[in-house]
Amino acid sequence: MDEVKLRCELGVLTRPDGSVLFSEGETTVVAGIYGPVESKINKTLVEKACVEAYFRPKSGLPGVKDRLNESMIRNVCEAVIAVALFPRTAVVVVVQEMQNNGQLISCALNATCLALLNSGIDMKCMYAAVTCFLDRSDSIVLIPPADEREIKGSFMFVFDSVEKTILASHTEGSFSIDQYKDALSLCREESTNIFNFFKKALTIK
Amino acid sequence: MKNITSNCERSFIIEALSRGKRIDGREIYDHRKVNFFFGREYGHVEAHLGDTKVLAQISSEVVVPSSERSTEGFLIFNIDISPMASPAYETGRLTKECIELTRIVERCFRESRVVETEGLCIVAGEKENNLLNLCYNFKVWSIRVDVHVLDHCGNYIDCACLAVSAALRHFRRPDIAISGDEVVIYDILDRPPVPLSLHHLPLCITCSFFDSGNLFAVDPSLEEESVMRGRLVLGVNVLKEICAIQHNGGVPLSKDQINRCAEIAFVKVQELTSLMDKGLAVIMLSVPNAAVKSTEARSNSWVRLPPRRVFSVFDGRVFNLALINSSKVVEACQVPCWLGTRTDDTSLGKALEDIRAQSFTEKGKAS
Repeated sequence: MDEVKLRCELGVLTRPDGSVLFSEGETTVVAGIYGPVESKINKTLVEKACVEAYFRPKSGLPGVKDRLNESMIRNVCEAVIAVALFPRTAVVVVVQEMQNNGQLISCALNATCLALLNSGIDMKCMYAAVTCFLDRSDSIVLIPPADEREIKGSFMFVFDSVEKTILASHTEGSFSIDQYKDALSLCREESTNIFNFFKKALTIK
Repeated sequence: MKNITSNCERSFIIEALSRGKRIDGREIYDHRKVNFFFGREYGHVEAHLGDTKVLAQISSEVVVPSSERSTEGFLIFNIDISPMASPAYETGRLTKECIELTRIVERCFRESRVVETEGLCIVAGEKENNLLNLCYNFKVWSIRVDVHVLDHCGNYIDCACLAVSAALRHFRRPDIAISGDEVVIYDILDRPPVPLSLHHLPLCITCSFFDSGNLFAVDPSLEEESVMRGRLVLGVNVLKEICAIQHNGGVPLSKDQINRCAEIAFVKVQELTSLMDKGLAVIMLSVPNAAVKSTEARSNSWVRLPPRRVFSVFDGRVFNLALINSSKVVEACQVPCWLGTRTDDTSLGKALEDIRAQSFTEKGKAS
């Protein structure tokens, strides 16, 4: 199985507390984190920090799909950041799509994890998102096939670094339960590579 | 949470300027370092002006033109200051800064007629004499420019104009072939795409004024912007034409000051344009014309650029049977409905068969 090529550059933006330019194969995103900062009055939570996520597509106005990505990013970040340490503040996560070759949401989640690590905010664990695709021949692959119409389904899982439990899961297309389990185990193995990549990226910087 | 400058910072910056020095070591007329990064797709440019970063992406789409200007295409701007640009974020497109940036860019590019909009026309038949004066026969290109400010370290106006100019020159739209009443739009993998025809390329130069207008500096950084009293933005091109002027802040300027700024702007725009030319020349040699994969289009129901798109004028009505793929399956069909005409199943079926037959012969011809 071919490996998906991962590349990143930490600290590309100067204003945000943490930022990264991350690419997974041909899919590229820029993520920026501000946190903890002053939150809006109507969104202030008394006992913890409120996490706000923004996902901007490259062209066009943000639509329903982008709101879905925002809610996934927000849910994962809320689970992972130590929000109880920063009451009445906000952590702002912004992701800008640069190039999309099929793994956009997992690329965005991995980028936000790196950006959080770059910003130094307290986290409970790291997380890695892996996407795999079900192609016409019913085999599960990590690299998306060149023709979009070959894809019968796609699976995206987010694992945490401590026990490899599932933090989030998103699927598209139709598939059998066995295929789902196969995809889950494949993604779990692949997540080890991603965590190694994160560690290497941080130590080189 | 606004950007707050302390009093001692403020007085330091002004004192330094009164002695002709700037806090980052530049001279009064110097720009920060300019860099262009081009993406894999045509029309994707990220411009860096010092630490300020702006991303521009251009995409094209075929639409029906407006009835008043049925032979002109559209140039649409969508400008957004991303929340990652500054911690004093306010999302939403109606913030003061966003509106100001949008208006300056629109005046500079659309109202000074940078893109030849008549050249964006595809099918321009005569207006049929019908009572409702509809021009459903016509098709034009709509060029959409999306600008995202990623990092705000001062003077994102200049940076945004740099990004848009470079993106307009970098962008290629799909090639088309017209034969009789039929228009075939080729995917970028089938035929090399075509550049936009541009009349000129404006760039913006910003001069900021301090301390009641007697001190000024070109290309203010973030700290200088928080201290400045007023700003003069000049949109100029290499032909020494002024495309747009914007004067903010309320500091009164004399005619000589404005003329001096214009002279500086003319010199600066030559430098910046030659930098952009150099960057584009390197990139144009190395971009392969068939190796990029198109991203999802957003506003229309067509999700991806189909292998062949065939329009047919049939009985005076246009059927956009747009998604005939290689296995001759119609993926989607759109019949525009308007007052007075109704399409019944038989004529629709006949049109489908016609198109299918034609696309087969077209494919035979092309391959």
